[in-house]
Amino acid sequence: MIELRGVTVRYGETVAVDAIDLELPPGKIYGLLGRNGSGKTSLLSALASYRKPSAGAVFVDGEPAFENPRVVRQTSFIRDTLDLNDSDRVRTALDIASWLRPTWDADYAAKLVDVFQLDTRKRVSSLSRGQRSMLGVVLGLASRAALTILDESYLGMDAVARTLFYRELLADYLAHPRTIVLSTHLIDEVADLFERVIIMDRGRILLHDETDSLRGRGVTVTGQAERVTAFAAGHTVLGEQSLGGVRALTLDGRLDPGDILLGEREGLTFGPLGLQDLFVHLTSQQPLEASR
Amino acid sequence: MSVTAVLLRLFKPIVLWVLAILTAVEVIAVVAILSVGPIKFSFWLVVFGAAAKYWPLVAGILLVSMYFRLFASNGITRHEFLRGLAVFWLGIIFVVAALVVLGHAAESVVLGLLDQRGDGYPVFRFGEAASEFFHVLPGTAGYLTSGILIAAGFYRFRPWTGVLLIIPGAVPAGVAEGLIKIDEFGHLTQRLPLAIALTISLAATVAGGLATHRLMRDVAIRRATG
Repeated sequence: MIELRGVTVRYGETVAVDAIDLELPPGKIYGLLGRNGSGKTSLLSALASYRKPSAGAVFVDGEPAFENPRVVRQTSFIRDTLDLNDSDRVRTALDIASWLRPTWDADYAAKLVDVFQLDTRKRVSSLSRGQRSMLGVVLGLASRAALTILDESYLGMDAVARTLFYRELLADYLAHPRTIVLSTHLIDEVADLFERVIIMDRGRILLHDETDSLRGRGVTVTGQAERVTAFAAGHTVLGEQSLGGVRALTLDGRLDPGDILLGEREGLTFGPLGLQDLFVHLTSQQPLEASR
Repeated sequence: MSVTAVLLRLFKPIVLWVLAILTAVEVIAVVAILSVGPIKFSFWLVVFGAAAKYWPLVAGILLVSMYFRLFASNGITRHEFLRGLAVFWLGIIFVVAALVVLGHAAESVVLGLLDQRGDGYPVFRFGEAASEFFHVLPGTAGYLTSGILIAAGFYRFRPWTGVLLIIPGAVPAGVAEGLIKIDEFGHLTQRLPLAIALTISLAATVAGGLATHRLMRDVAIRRATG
């Protein structure tokens, strides 16, 4: 069990993470969502012992995590900037990981290098943004660390590379279950991977719940624009999409089965809540209303 | 694999290249000088004597600015890195100081066999090897410690604070340089009795090590730039 107790991260006067209490049961994939500057990376830095919290502490299986070799050895934190020397070749970066990480799987690393078509002779400085992200994914997944944290590891990857990344992540997680924390802005694209979702805003945890429970928190209503608008009256709108005369609104809360039946008779269709809509609603400074 | 072993693997090609270049420079320069006449000073003590101070200074800076983050991101704690660094530090200063003495010995023997030692050339004597070694060692240790300490200041604080900390960071190097050294004519210089000079120099170096520990023991792992 990973526990954060009163974790606060300050940079001078700025409070990036504000007295967060959080429990992360092991063996799950967590999605950490938050707007830019919400404190995600600072929280992850504290979680990975990259930064000593200004207050509070992180515990893993009851032991303080900071400067604890047993915990640190089993933690892999891949930041978007990559903690590598630009002058090193990809091969060197992989070698160093294999020398230092007792759980490193060299065969799996070689397979991932092949999947992502990385040239191990290239220097890190000569990799494209997407290739750097791919290298980060290789280092993160092949470390097979009990706690693997990937902070915006998709940056610069094209759609094919991202699909390969999600596929490999899921396959490896199923073969070697461990705790994985993914921080991302591509919410809908990755949502199916998350077992639990943590939403941060202004240094605090807004929400921490099972992904399936969140999907039951609202409904997407699609149909003729006027009918959808009329149906949504009185409900809180989390998201909206329009195309021609068709409108799709995401409504907060559970709908009465009778209302749904009524709506279906009027030609409306109902679907589960999109995670991104929920995220936008929760973190938006200007809530959307069903008044339009 | 231990931190020290990984540092050795990473630095091995660098050390071998530096050694090869300096040896090549020594051979070419000595041959050139000998074409004019017998050599009156030890070129090895000029070149490798300087390298024995400035290369450790650069290595110390690299160890913190480039390698610390690399180890931390591969599951090594700050304290583990600092312990491994201390062992590596010890290895560097002994090997580098020994190479100064061994190189001087080799140069002296070869020039002697060729009868090319000019007036004033510092002839190597095995009885003075230990004294020569202990006149090189404090400088190497001091410069390496200063490199690490100055880089630690920049790593922990903002650049301007780092700039201000260069002065205290340079104390280990400055103390060793001021108290005890060897020049190209083989003159063993010490401003105080050897034991006292060595003790003061060692104390400054140990203080630098403790300051490094203080700076790095809970430092945040910085992002790479770019």
